[in-house]
Amino acid sequence: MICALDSASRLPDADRREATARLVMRLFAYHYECNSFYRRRCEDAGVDPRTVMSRGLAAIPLLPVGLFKQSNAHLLLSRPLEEVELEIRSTGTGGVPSVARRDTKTTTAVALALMAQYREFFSISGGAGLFLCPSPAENPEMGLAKVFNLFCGLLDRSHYALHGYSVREDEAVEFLVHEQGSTVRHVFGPPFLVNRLLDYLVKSGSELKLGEGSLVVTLGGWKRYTGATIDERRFREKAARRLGIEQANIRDMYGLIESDMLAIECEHHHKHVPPWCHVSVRDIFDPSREVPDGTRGVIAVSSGLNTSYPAFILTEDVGVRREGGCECGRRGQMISFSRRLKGAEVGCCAVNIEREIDTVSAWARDVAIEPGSPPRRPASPAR
Amino acid sequence: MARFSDEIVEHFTHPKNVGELPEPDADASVVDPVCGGQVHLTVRMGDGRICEARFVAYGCAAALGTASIVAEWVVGMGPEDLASLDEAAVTQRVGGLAPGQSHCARLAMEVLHALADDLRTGKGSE
Ligand SMILES: [Zn+2]
Repeated sequence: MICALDSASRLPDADRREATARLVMRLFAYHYECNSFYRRRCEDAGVDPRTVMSRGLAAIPLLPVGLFKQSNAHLLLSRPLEEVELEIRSTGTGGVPSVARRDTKTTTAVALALMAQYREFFSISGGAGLFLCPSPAENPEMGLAKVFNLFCGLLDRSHYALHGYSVREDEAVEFLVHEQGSTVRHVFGPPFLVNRLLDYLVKSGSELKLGEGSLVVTLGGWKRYTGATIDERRFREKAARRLGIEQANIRDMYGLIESDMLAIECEHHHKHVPPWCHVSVRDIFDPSREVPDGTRGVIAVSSGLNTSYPAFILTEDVGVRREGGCECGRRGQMISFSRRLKGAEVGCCAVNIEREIDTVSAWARDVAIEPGSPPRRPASPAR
Repeated sequence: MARFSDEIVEHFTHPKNVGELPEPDADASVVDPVCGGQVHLTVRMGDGRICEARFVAYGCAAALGTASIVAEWVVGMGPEDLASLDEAAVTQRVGGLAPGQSHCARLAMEVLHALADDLRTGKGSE
């Protein structure tokens, strides 16, 4: 399915549903067998593999995403720690990191899945990439950094314009200008950081001409740590004008580190759920109840790739699911994110990055550090 | 070396002394600004030495395992013992850390030193 994503994304609905259900049900039976913590939750809910076979994927007991923040997260593992190869985290405004631990098999599957999606949606096989996000060298466990960095393997040249939470807009522009005429240029980063570059261009009265084939790819959400929201439509208009790029090539992605799902926007700005995941939208007040397509509710994502832990996750995000065909030719589930659940902490990595950037700039101003030179923050705040 | 030492695997899988002591004689919290790892230690003293310790930790598996090991390790120590511990001592005690996990030794050392400070200046030294 991963290697033939183009055809899997165009299967008739019944065939695709059956293929996804087979993957997810097989993993449900596996986690039910191997994970005593999860099995107890299933028993409490009166669900076993036979129930899921007869009642469908909606019967699978979900794990609230908050469990990944708890200090007894070892309970979530279906494999021994010795088999865990990759730990990825996301830290929101609350400061407590959520950590997803993947074994070798799952790490391989997810890495290949992401690459397959990047090829399917972006067809990148070269060019230059400007990264407006932390590099994995500085933040090796940060989910957002890892997901963006996978693009580097497809590109010929990459440049990170964020150093120690200090943004270098001048350096970013210089990189894009320097690569002009030599290769296709792409920009990657969370919306608020790309927006920051756009504001820098507005302020300096400049417009770049990235041209045909160039992409702006965003991930991390549109909510800022201040509570304000970046308007997606206005962002696209501004990016199209300031970067000289088609709006169809300005694409957002939605995912969370605990799930194995990255929903990527096609040129029509619909976020497509990959066929190895199943999205179900739940009643906000009763998450055991699935709501019909087109109705707003809490997003739940079930993975058909994860052997490390039961990746049947009830998120804290509110959104809408639709199923069927898209103008781009793909068929399947599509989701749109509306907002965070009331009471959930604001956003994830991106929100925290923005707050860190502001803290670092304020600190640099206070100690009169040359703007742009990466300041070293004082060590851990102890109580 | 393996990704996790046997000690880390044991303490991550079966964490010991988890929680917070009510009305502790001293406590310390540290946060790693890079990885987001957090450790909170609370201890009770008897005859100038730690006789009971509890921990709460968040972060990667090595940080959680290290915190559990540390909470067991500190029992019997006084503030001077805690202050003398460095990253190398922590690394040795946890059975070694893979290159990407060295921040866990720093986090543990910082919480131990913060605890020593709290014992010297706070309720623990009374
Ligand atoms: Zn589409």
